[in-house]
Amino acid sequence: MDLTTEAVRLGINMAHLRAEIASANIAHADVAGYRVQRADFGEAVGLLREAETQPSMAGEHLRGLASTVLHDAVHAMDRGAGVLVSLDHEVAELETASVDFQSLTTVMSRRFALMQLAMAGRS
Amino acid sequence: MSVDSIFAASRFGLEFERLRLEAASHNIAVANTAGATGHVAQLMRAVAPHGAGFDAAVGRESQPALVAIDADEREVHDPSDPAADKNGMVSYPRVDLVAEMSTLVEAGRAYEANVRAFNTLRSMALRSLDIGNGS
Repeated sequence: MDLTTEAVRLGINMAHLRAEIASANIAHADVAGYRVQRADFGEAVGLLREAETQPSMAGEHLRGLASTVLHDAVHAMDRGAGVLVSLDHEVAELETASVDFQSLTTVMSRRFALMQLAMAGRS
Repeated sequence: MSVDSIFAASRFGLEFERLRLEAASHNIAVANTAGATGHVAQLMRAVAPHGAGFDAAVGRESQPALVAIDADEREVHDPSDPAADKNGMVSYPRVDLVAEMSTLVEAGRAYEANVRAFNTLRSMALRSLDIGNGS
C-alpha cells in the first residue's frame, strides 16, 4: 500500500502493542518476581519522522522495517524504581491506547472511504 | 498542547495522589510502633520532581516518587515494654495524625477528580471522531 496507509498501520500496531503489554502486566500483577514490561517506541517514532520527511519512501519499505521495529520495542524493566505493576497506571495506559487505536482506525476508514468514492464515482 | 499531553498530566495526577495516599497510610500505620533504641523511624512523603505542575506535566514525562524522611522522636516512659531503653523510655515516631488523616481524605478526593478529568477527556477525544459523520 502507499506510504500514508503504511504509516497509519504502524500507528495502529503501536497502539495495539501498548494495549497488549498493559494487559500482560495486569495479568501478571501478582506473580512473584515479575518485572513490568514497557514498550520503547523511539525507533518507531524515528521511522515515522523519516517517512514524514521523505515522501518518496516506498510503502513496502516502511512496512518491512515496521515489523522489526515493533518486535524490538518490548523490554522488561530492570530492577529498581517502577518494577512493580501499578494497576491504575496500566488501566490508564490501556485507555489511552484504546483512544489512539480508535482515532487511527477512524482515519483509516475515512481514507478507504475516499478511495471507494474515487472508484465508484458519485454514489 | 496535544490531547496526549493532557492525558499524561491526568495520569501524573493519578500517580501522585496514589503515592500521597500510600505515604499517609504508611505514616499512620507506623505511628504507634516502637522503634529500636538508637534507630530512627522513617516516615514517607510523596514528592513531585522540581517544577512538575500541570504545565510541566503537559509537555514532558516526569515521575513522582516516595522518599523516606527521618521522623522526630516521641518518647514515652514505659519500663514494662521490651523495646524500652535503660531509662525506661520507649521511642515512637512523631506523626501528626490530623495532618495525615486530612492528607488521606484529600488525596482520595483528588484521585477521584483526576479520574473524572481523565474520563471527560477520553469521551471528548472519542466524540471528536464523530466530526463530519453526518446527522
